[in-house]
Amino acid sequence: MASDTTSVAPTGWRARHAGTIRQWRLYAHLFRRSFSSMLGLFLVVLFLVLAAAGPALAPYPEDTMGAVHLDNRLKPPSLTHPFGTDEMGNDILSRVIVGTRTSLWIGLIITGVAALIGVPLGIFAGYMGGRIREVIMRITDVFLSVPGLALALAIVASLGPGITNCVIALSLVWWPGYVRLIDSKTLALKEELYIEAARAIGARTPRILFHHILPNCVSPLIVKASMDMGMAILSAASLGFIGLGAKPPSPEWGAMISVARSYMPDWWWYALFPGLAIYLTVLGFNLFGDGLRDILDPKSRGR
Amino acid sequence: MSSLLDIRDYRLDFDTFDGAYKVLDGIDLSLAEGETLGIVGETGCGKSVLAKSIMGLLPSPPARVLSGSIMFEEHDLLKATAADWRAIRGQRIAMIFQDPMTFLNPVLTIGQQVCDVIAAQQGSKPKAARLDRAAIRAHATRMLELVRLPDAAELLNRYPHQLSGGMRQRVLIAMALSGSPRLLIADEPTTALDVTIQAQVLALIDDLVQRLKLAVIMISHDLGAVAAVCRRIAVMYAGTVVEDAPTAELLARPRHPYTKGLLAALPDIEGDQATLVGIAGSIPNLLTPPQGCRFHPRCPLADARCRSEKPLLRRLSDTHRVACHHV
Amino acid sequence: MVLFVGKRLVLFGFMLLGLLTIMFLITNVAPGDPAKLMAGQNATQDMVETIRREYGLDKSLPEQYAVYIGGVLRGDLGRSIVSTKPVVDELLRYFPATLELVLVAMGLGILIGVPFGMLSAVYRDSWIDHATRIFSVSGVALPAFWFGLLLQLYFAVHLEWLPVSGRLELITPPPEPITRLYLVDSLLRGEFDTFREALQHIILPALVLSFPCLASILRVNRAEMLEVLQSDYIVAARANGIPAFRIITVYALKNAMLPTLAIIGLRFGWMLGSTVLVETVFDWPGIGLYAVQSALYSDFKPVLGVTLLIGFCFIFINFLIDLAYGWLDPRLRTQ
Repeated sequence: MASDTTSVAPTGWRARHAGTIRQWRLYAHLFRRSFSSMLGLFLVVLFLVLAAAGPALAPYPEDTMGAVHLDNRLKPPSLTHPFGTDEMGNDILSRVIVGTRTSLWIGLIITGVAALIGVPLGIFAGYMGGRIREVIMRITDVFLSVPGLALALAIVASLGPGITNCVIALSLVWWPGYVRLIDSKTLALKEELYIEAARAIGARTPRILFHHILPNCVSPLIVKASMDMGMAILSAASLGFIGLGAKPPSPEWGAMISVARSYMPDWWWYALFPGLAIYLTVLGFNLFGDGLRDILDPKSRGR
Repeated sequence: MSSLLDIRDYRLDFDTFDGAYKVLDGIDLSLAEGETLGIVGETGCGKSVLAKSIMGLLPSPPARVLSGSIMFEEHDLLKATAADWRAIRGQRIAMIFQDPMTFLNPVLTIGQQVCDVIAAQQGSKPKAARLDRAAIRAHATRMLELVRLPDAAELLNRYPHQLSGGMRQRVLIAMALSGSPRLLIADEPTTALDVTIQAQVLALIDDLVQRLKLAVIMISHDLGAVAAVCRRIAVMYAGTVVEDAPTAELLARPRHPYTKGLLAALPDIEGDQATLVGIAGSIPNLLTPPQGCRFHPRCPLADARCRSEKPLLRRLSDTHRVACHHV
Repeated sequence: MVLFVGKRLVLFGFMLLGLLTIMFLITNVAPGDPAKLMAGQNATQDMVETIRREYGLDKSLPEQYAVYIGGVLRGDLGRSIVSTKPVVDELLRYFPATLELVLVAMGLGILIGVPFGMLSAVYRDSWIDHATRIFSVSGVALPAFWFGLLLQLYFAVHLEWLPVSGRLELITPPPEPITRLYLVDSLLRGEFDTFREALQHIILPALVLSFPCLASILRVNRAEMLEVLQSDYIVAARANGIPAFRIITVYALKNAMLPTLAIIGLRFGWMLGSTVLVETVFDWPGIGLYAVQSALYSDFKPVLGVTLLIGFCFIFINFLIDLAYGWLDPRLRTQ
């Protein structure tokens, strides 16, 4: 068998996949050349590491679970507490590090649920066309007609505050974007000759969907999901800030700023560092997504 | 005849991720006042790049000039400044394009676009000779009438999408000629049009060229279209000029094997030949063009010399030049 | 043209009905007993039942739906539990403040975003392009509430240039209402000191609110300009000797404005949504703050009212933008 393979392709794996290798080399080249893409990659990796190893990296892990050190309240940044301490005397650095995991989970769940609802609906709408598409797209439009944050606020208000309800609410307002994206992509692909050819030679619908349409939706999907990770984290933190998301003392960035607000302006570090963490995470995912888009989907830039 | 345009040893690369594409490799061409020159060749032979170079429309990067000069009147166009171009484009050299569909701005009326072109020309005139708004509009109407568009005055208020392809090409011709240029570059002017419209537009160009005594460079892959307008034809292959001769002579006695191949590939309506002959192979990858004569991999006459030494464009007579070791 | 507007009007009506339906479903189909939530944690069973009857929550869903739609059509959005006033009255009271804030923020977004997007496209890969790109990506990532706090800290507390919060100083009487927009009213009434004060108060919140919007207008305008600048008709315009400045400002911008307009509409909605954050930070007495405070008291008739109003504004703005599209793009208008 082995000798067979080599005789069919005597030039080896490298030569046979020359096209693919060149493509990936080009991707890597373009990505590396862009400072902002690399910055995004660095930030994403940094926060992923913080999320994965959170409690192990935090200097004072017990401070993230509601410990009280009244003698240590509201200390400014120092060598022992680089980000200072909060009103319970807890180390803010530890709480910010542990909060990473919460935020990334929230982002991942919201984006995941939204994609799981939105992608099948989008493919279905785009591929079926006609009435079915009309109905799905109109419903989607109605959802998109209320700004996400306002709709999420209304949903959380009716479900009651809390981090779980906050995630449910944001997932519910997030899916329509995916329907739009995948629907338009599917519509465009459907007109492509090779899809028509596949249909003409009698390929069945599921096969066309899974072998031809879905793979072609992957790159815009990855780009959107990466951008949405950041935006979902930002929205969840916003609800936390308003007081409808995670409740203190759980170490969630938005909720921390919500409490810290009443300690402004004298104890500014309390609000500064959690906010910086939100900003850098969201920035990281946005830059990373932007960089991916530049190389995977250069035509749709800016949209 | 003094020459109006003189291109000498013009070499151009396109820099890309894969490396430098050697798009033009030593072009030598000249054009006299009032002369009509056709440039033919397959897609990708560099003829459009050459046309854009003359108009200074190549984006750089990726384009990079390696050597040569393009003299027009007394300017070297490769060294022209923004101010030079303002006086040249539209008034000394004008250009019409392949697809009239996409070369007119979709959100402006025909009138706005034609008048804008005329208004732009007023800047380089002495104050007293400048036209006012009404005069510009009148001139625009006259230009549309010149290209035989009916209801010219009314047409000025229409948008491009309300016109047919043939009408749009006429509008583009009117815009190009509005500054009374000395040289008109036509880049595949009929390729995107229906066959019947093609003939009309070619007849119009031919008529205007004779009436206005314009010099023309017409670029096309369609030898027939070029022969209808031009008195002289240059054949390009992979970034080089391989043959340059008066139209009648080129059609009757082609010397370069590539030109022979092109002619043999033409369907002959009256002739006896029943089979069409194509040229074997395809145009080379300009990233790594063949050594020596760029045509040698496809040439039936190729020998060792063709593979190593680049043939120069030699004069066979006053008007006929060819680049082949075997002529 | 009439047909074009007519079609958009029908769509507008349809969207509103859809919005009402979704809001109804959210409040009534959501798990959890709304009567219990409304009554609070310490309420007795009796109190819950009273509330249930009072708010018609004991009726079947379709009946409730009919009552609700009927109410909205009559301009009745229910009463706030906290203030016991009709929600519509309170919305009318708070809305002008939000409108003023959003309009100023949108103005900033367009006035800065469009020219810089253009510049960045024309001088592609220059320092100005890199600066605008970094700015545009970071603008979207900035948490509005945090950014607001930082600006307060620096400009209001540290430098003392601008006031920390509110629409006017507490002791300053607002101008006699005409439009209820303080900036406009104070000018119309000739009260220039009040105008200056209102302007000082609006700068920071408007800046914070406009930031993400500015960033995305900039981004889209840049991308569209880049694409348009490479199109055939720009090449033709250059070949015909049209001056570069005119090509950029007329030939390219008018085409690039079409997608930019779409983003402006989208961002308008975003901005309305973000008022809940910005108004909270700056104590700006608008519908966003009203919604947040009501939500914290589980008083959700006001929350619903605000969401409906925001949705309505958003749909209305997009309706206007659709019309503007028709005006900018002759292909839509004349077909």
